Amino acid sequence: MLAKWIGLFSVIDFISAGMLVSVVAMNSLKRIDGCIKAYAANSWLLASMMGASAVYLSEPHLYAAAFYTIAVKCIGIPYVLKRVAKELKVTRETDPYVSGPVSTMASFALVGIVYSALSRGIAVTGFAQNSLEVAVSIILVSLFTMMIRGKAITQVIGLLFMENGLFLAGFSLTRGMPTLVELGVLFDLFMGVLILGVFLSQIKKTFVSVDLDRLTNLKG
Amino acid sequence: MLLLVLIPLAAALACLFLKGRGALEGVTIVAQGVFALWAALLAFEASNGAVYFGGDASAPLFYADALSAYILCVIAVLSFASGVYSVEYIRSEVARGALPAATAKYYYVFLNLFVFTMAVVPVCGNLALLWIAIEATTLVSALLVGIYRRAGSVEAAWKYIVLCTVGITFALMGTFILYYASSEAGSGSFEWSTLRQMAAGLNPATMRLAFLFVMIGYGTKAGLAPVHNWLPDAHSEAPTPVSALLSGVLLNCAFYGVIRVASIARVSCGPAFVQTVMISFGIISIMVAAVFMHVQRNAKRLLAYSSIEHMGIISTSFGAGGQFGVYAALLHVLNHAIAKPLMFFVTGRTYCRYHSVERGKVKGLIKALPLTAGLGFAGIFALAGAPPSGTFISEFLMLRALADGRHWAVLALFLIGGTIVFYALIRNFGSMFLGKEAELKPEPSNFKFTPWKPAGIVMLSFAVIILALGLHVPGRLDSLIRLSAGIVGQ
Repeated sequence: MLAKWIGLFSVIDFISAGMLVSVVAMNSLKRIDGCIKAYAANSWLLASMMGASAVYLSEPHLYAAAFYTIAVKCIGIPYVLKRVAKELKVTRETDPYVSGPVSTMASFALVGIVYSALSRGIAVTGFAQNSLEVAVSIILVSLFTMMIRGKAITQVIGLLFMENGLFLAGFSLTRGMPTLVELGVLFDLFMGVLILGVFLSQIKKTFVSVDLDRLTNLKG
Repeated sequence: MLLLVLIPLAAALACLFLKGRGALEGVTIVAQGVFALWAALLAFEASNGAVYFGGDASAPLFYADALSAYILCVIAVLSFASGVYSVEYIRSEVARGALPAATAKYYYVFLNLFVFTMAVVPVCGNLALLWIAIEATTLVSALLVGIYRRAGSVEAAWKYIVLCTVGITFALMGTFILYYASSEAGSGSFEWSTLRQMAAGLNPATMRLAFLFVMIGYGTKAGLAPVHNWLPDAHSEAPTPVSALLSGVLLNCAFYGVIRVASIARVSCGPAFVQTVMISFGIISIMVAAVFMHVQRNAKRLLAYSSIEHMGIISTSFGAGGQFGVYAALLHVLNHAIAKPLMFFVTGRTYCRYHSVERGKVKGLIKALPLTAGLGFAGIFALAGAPPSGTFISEFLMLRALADGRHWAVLALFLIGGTIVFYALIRNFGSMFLGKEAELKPEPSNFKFTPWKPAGIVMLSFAVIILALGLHVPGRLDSLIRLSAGIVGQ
């Protein structure tokens, strides 16, 4: 019954569109906790997409995948990020290199480029046909975010958005990765966030701020 | 048999609970020594047929054939050498107050953990697990790069972890596309041996995309230009024994990922595409490294750029393929893993005495540390690929492969790049080793070079090995490399 409903209203395409909107929205957010919330929302959408496909395909290992995603990406990582932001006392992005409206327009342009480029490349068929385009768009838009933002913590959030895009791509290409692989990737991701948190506080100690402009001693 | 990769992990755990400098050093050296011997045993066993662990024999989770065993041996030998060298280096750094004694303990924990993550890489039979292991090496080694907590090392570690994680994301994407190609052709799989068997049936267009993604992703980690920007910073800011590991073996671990995927892509989308991509990345790396080496004044950064050049050589000769190319690439992996750490060890000793490795500040090393400078000369000539050294043999075989494939432009570019590199090495190290006046006086140190001290023995034997490899490649090594080349395919 539920599976039929998911198929009828293309819930999966709907959710992946939501993920795309949240990554574009992140570009116009300046407050750090707003960015963290956007990341959490993106992760919840990713997890609910896995859950919806689990119902649709009635695959038990996809339920487990959705569960791990919730535990790590929706609860664990946003918690760590909030703690780090509080410790560093950064509340907002002071001056991004590109202003909010311009970067939002640029991300829309990137999405357009991805759609036109992938229309002639590989075509993923089946239930998640839009997911690959959305995933590549998320990866490129978050890469763009990482380039234009000046605070180290926003760079980490951009990196995490990129990983969400990667998860979506992996999900649509493999129809749910094997559990062992997913657990390993999530473990690496979580450890990465913890280690980046450690380095963030060291940057704060040695450079007195977390502006990436100051990290320019090493050249050539 | 494959349980050997757990030895460094056990050593890391032991170091976490041990107290006292001697215990930490002892555990590290003994563990790495056992690990190296066991890896050699695995190489004997894997030459007779692949070894499995976990999963079933057709699709094993962990898997070691001759190629894995060869890479694992290189990792193990280097880890042992760098463990032995660490003792002297870390004692000297603690004595002069650059590293707190409490941090020295974590140095040994992370060092063993780093070796563990690298050891897992070549025994992964599953390409997704391979990615997980390579990402884990980045995370652990970033902790080692930033261990001094100076402004420079924190900056280097930050760039290293962010750039490599972004880069390697592309490799996972490529791995997913590879899985997709295999699921289109029948049944989806991440297992290398399964994919290798079904390689001929995979869709060439999809495989081209997959290979490009993997090449960019692991290429970032392997330090190939133009995605090498993190490498000079990380390699020059890390403690010297770690720089030796990063340059000598970690880059090869990442390149191992490329080799595995390239051997599938060669069959499914034809050798020409793989050849073009790998030779382009390789020759660009050689030229970029040559230009940056020419303007470099810091010896550690110079050696870091030299690693980019050598990874370029490995990529070019692997791409050229044929009867000589793959063999030359694999032999060069070993040669570079001996010559580069030797030079890092020489630079580390210089640093312990002068607290600087800048050209112009350090002079007349041959008087202050005659044996170190002497070994340094052997190292420079080996890095530049001059005879009689192992690098000369592998670079000559690469030229032969390029000539066989009629890549004349690449061959000419390599000769130009190689000449600039030779000049840069001689100019920098020549000015450090020779000359009369020293702006900085060497500080009296307890760590005088004596050939019979462990670190001295390691350096001396590395210099002997690299020269001996130029005269003769031992039969067992030769057959192991031939077997590995056979697995990869011409």
